[in-house]
Amino acid sequence: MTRWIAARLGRAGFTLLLLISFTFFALMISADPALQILGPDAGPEAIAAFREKWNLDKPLWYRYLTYLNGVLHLDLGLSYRTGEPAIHMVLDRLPATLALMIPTAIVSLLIGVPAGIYAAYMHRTTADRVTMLLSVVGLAIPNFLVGILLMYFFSVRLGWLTPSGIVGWSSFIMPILTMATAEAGIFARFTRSAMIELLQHPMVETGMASGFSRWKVLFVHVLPNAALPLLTVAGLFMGSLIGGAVITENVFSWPGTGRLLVESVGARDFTVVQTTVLLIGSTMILANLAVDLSYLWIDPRLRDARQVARR
Amino acid sequence: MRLLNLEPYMLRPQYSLPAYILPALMSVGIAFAANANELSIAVQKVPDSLDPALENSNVNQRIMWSLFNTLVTVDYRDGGKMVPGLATDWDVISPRTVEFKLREGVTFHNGDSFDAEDVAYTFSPERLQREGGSSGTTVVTKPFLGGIENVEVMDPMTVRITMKEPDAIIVQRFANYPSQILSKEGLKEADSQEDYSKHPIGTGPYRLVDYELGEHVTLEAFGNYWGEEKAAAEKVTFTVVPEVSTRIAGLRSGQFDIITEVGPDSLEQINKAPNTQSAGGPVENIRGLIYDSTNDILDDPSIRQAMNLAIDRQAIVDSLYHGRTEVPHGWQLDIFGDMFLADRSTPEYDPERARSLLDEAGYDGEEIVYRTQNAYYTNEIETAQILQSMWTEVGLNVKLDVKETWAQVMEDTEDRHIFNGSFTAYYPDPMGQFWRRFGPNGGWAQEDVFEVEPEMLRLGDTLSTSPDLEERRRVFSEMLDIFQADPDGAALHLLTQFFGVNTDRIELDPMPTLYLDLTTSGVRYQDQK
Repeated sequence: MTRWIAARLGRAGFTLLLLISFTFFALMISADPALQILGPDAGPEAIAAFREKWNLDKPLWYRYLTYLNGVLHLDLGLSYRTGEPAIHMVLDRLPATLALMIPTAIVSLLIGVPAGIYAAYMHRTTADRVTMLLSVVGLAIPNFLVGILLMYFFSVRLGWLTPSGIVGWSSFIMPILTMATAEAGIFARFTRSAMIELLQHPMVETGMASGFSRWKVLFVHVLPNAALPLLTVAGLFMGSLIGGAVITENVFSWPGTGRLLVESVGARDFTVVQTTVLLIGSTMILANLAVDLSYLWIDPRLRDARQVARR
Repeated sequence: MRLLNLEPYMLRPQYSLPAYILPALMSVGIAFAANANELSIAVQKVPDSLDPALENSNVNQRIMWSLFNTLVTVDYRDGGKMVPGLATDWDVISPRTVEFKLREGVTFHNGDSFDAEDVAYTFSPERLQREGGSSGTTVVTKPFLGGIENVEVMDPMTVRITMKEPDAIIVQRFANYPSQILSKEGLKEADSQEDYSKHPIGTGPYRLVDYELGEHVTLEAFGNYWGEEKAAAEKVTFTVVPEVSTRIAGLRSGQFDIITEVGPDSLEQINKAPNTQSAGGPVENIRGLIYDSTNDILDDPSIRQAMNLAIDRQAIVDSLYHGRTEVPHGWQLDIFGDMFLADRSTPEYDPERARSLLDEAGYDGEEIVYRTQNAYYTNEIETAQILQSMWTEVGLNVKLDVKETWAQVMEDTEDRHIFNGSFTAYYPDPMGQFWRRFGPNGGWAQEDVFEVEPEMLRLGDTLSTSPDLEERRRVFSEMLDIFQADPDGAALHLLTQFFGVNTDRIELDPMPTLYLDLTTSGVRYQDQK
């Protein structure tokens, strides 16, 4: 079991290294930030001064190793734009993103899971089809469109909600709704298919034959078994907590990490882009690791199987 | 080996989760900016630094007019006339030297009174040649103020500035960006130069209250402002709203009084709504093309001349800008004042002559590559496509090559033939526009996009140093003639700046410049009319 955990940890570490390297090279190759930051008006002297200041005149391998060394010491560099530590800028924006994403997770689960259970329970009826149609629609409409439609309706037409920024609790309504329409759709579909598969399991028939009510069979026997695939999806979602709101944050001008990312890409502020991507990637990797490890705890079969195999 | 520095990982209290949620929960929900004397402006970006010496950008210039003043003021509402600012009088003692008599009784936002020491500090190497920001101030200020030799304080209210070389626009230099005056005392109150750049102290109609990078800039009316036109609002907030559709929704719902960076295609939508109108138009910037004449095809001036004759500029203005911009009279603007050559016509459109010029040059359909980005400039790709079809009309074979970055556009290979550019008139003078970009010190000449001919160099020398207005006008006219026959580029139209305005609340009268006037001459509240 220790070896199994060690293997997972090793894999997570290696993924992280790949992530760091890919982001670094992709950004460095994509464009010379000097011209992009200083603009086409800048003279050759200005460009040379900028390159020197940010080590851009050094060879790529040198910059890569310097960066890697920095990461190992938790030093992710200074922002090209402000000269502040990049991590500072990213962490400053994190609370606003979490304040949006955590309620979104709760709302999505509260809508998605019951809808999935209901659809599974009503399998092959009109109710099932309507629920699934709604989930597909929610999933298929891009967030920016949902956001703008909501804004048009609630802000421009009705004048009930402020379209952008955080001015009060009501500011949370439209962004959360925007993201929850898509996320709830995903949760509903996964819950439904996991449940349908399990509903065909002999234990359901046995339970019913033993005189339990349908609902009791559903909640006591089927749902816990459906938890595993759901956990995987939820893990993926947790991984996207930091980076998941990029589009929504931009539409609603939300002061979070997603908007910082777009802003920094636009400004070619590579260190901030790298730091944000690194943070998003690490959360994703950690969330997956946590899901892997929690299988051990939730699923007795996995735990036992390991022990059996070791014996 | 470096030790771990965990300081950057500590969350600052103003950003903690409760800091976002508590006020949000306590407020009653809808907080539209309907407060009588406040002004809420949605911008696509706020500057990375408010110090004029650290950032030269449209987002910074928009705020500068409210925070600072220059020694001499350009009156954009009166053809760019130079009027007294923080200096009441000036005297060009020699082609290299100017003396300013300073205005008495001017107060900075920190209460400090304005005098010659502040001017000396503003133009000192200590301020203009330092590290900081993304590139340090030298990079930003050198093209404008790098020519200063020294600044002498003659008495507390008199300053004499000497340039290294004779300078025909010596007064303009102190009337325009980045010559905004900062308080010397303000630096002492700040932790460092870098820190001072985050909250610089000026003499403008508004003072800075709050500035959060990427979020907002908040200003407040300055009670002791010396000028005649006072701050129109008690409080002004520039809020970042990156999406244009969100800015429009915010305008229409009453959240914002003014929105900036509205594209020409959104004007109609704003004008049709009952409570909003568009404002703005051309600014002091010419959108143009640059021709690389160092290759076998474009080294023939008659081909470049033919390319210019084939462009129907008015058609671009009418179709892409709904007629809300202008075609310039060559490389000049009417805010040039005395240097504006009003008798010069707009560039000629004559496809017939273009065809015959191409025939005479023996042009045989060789491929000409036009490098463009998608949307660095407003309507960039659309303009490129229209130009391509106009050139095809006269028999030119132009291929569009869409690039993603300036580095790709500028890459010096054989197929760099045509690319896009803009020509801001940093000074209302050909020195600040035409000769800055097409002269020998401009980036393009330095990067071998073209070579500046000896005759041009000779004339340019007179243009930059002569104090004689009539001589300068004659020389500039000659230069434009030479350019027309052997063009290194094409002037297309003036770039634009459009706003959306909540007309239930205010009336906005923007100036033809990137500076945004929020004094009583630029903004009027409807209920105070």
